[in-house]
Amino acid sequence: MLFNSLGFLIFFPLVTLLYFLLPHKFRWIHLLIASCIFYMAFIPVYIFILFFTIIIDYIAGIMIENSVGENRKLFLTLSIVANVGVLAFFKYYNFFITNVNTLLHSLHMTPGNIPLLSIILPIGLSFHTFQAMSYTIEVYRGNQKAERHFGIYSLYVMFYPQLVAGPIERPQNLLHQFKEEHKFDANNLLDGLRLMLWGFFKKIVIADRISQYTNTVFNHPYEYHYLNLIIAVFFFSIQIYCDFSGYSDIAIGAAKTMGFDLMINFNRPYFSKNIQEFWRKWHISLSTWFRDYLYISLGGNRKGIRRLYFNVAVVFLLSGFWHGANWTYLVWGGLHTIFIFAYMLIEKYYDIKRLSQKKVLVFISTLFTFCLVSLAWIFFRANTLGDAAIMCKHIFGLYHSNPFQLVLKNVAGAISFTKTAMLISIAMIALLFVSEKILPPDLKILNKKYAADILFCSITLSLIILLGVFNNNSFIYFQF
Amino acid sequence: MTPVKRIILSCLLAALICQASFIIVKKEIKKYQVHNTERLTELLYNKTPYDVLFIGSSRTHFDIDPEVIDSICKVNSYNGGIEGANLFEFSMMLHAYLQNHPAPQWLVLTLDLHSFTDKKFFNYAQYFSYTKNSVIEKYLNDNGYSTLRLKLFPFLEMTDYDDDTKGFIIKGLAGDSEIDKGDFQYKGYLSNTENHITSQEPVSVPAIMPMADIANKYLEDILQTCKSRNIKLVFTYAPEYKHQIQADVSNSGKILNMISNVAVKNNIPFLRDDTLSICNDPMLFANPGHLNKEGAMQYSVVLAKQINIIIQN
Repeated sequence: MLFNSLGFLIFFPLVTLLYFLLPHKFRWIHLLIASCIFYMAFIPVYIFILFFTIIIDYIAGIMIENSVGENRKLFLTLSIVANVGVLAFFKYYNFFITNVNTLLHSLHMTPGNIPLLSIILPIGLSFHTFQAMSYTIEVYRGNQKAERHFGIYSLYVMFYPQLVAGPIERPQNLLHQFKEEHKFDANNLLDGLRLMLWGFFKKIVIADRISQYTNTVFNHPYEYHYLNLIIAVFFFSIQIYCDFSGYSDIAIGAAKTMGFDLMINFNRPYFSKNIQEFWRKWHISLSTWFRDYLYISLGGNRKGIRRLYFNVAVVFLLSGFWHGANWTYLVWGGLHTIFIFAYMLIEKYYDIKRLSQKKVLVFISTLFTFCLVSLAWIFFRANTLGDAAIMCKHIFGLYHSNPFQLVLKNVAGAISFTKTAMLISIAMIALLFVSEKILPPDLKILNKKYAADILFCSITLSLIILLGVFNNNSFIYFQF
Repeated sequence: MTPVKRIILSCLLAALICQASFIIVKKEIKKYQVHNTERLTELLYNKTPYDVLFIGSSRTHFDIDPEVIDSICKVNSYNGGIEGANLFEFSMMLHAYLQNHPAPQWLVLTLDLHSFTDKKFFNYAQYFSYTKNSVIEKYLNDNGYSTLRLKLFPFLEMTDYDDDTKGFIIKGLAGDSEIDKGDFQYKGYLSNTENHITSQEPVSVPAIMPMADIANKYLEDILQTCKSRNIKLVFTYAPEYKHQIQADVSNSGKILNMISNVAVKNNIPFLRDDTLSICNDPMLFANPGHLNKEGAMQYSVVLAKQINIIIQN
């Protein structure tokens, strides 16, 4: 079920209302059923994949806790293999086989192609798999007791607000909340609804509008003037932020209305002054997952400088690959590795903290970081590496064989983006940046200011109604 | 102030802002869409009797000038062509028209290659202002565009506007109108600029135009309605520049044959105006599918003579 659908408009208040009407002991059942309905609105049969990993990890958690010595490691390994196996099969099998087929063809070594699977990737697979893995790892590390209540554990993996696109929660933060009785709190309702409203604004007013521009250009990059390409690149940077952080805001807000606290996933990342800061503020739940379970496990910065660089590269390349089975994501991860390496080298020889003392330098470094991140997004969004290469070539070569289009048309000549759409987009992006500069990500600062809060909520709601694009566009991160 | 009060107050204030904006928006859209408003009001609300009614898509709207038809055929005609319409909207328009108007003597139905698709409305939002016509209200509700929510919260109509429509508001505020300088409107017709084809359109790979069974049902509904209301029917296929529209559709022959068969079976004249000599003159076309102002003038003369012969017989 999409957050920006009519179905959710009915589902959300109904689930929240029933949650508070039911006695505490039945609430987990209610939330579990609601989560199943939410997930099954996409492809119902894929719920069995979820059940499979849930059963494996539930048993693994208890076995790890009950075992000693090498057996603990064995059960953890089994759990990780099962989770990664499901991910590899559904997400990476076709990518791997396609590349093997290509390689064999180029070596003239194959009598025929190895067959590909004709399956659709289960929605949000990478998210709930990583959340499930964080549970068994934390039980193994002794930071979390194994959950004996199968229903509660299932709910930890399936909790509907964050089931398909995160935030990827840790068991220490979420599991205990299902056992606590949440009484109806109007403050939570206000905080949650306000955050949801802001999320809907980002998604429906900004992301879904500018996606019409980015989709047109990114699907046929060789057809457009370099200025159209540059606009598309910057628009995509905004689109992916508004789409994904919008989803996170709605998820966190929906959970908050029932009294659940989910972790903040974005902390105004485009105001980052350098690439390292950007990664502390972008998709925080995934960045910290890789930091806690991969980077630190590999030795972090404790095993010398060469190992540090190796660990950083592994984390970023895997992070790229986590997003999708395509070389474009790997190159995206590779580019960020290079950016981080460059930053680490500069930091070694130059006192970067001095930058923050001059406003002009802060502005320049923020803009430069945004441009670097946008450059990498080309590879993230491009359909193929070839398309990405053409875009870079045309942007940096100032390609202008095709005329610049103020009113953007697709290759068939139909209008994709009008002047009005451009005007609204620029105005709303400006409003977004100003609002994010003033307000913290959880927007709780507004609790203390009645008038400002009412004005903020009513204007945001009005803008959604007046300027929203109501075509039920899916969220970008659902595909991961 | 309690959080619940704040939520309620925010919703009320938002509703107030939206409703106030909606009043301005409606006014400016009407100001800009002076032609569309006038013709939809005439077609869906007024009761003027017409002898000849033209129904079709933009190729009716921009191609047929009732002034020429009226003067040659000595009739009172009206152009009811709707942008992007297919048989679903043709059928709706006929029923909605008959809601208030007396039945015309003749219905000239322009059929296009895309008339038989299963798409419903091309621009459903334009009909929300005309739901007092019960046919329009029924067609909207039956096809998933609830009118009840608009009765409760009129401003929600704005959620159905695309950016193009939102642009009309700005244009309306700037004092612009959809009737460009040099163009004119007359009884539903809008002249289509003096622009003409200057270069050969790039050759595209022909694609199959989907033909839905439901479209045949709408056509059958039109035939039956005309029969029951004693309306004589004429089919036309509008002029197109050097058959370029047909060249883009790989099953165009099949669609045109099907129309011919229906016409023969029901004894309906079918005017294939894509074979007229004017179809070879790029100076008469704004684009391959639509005539320009001069083209519409010349075509209307030809069409009027054809209709006149049919009426006389």
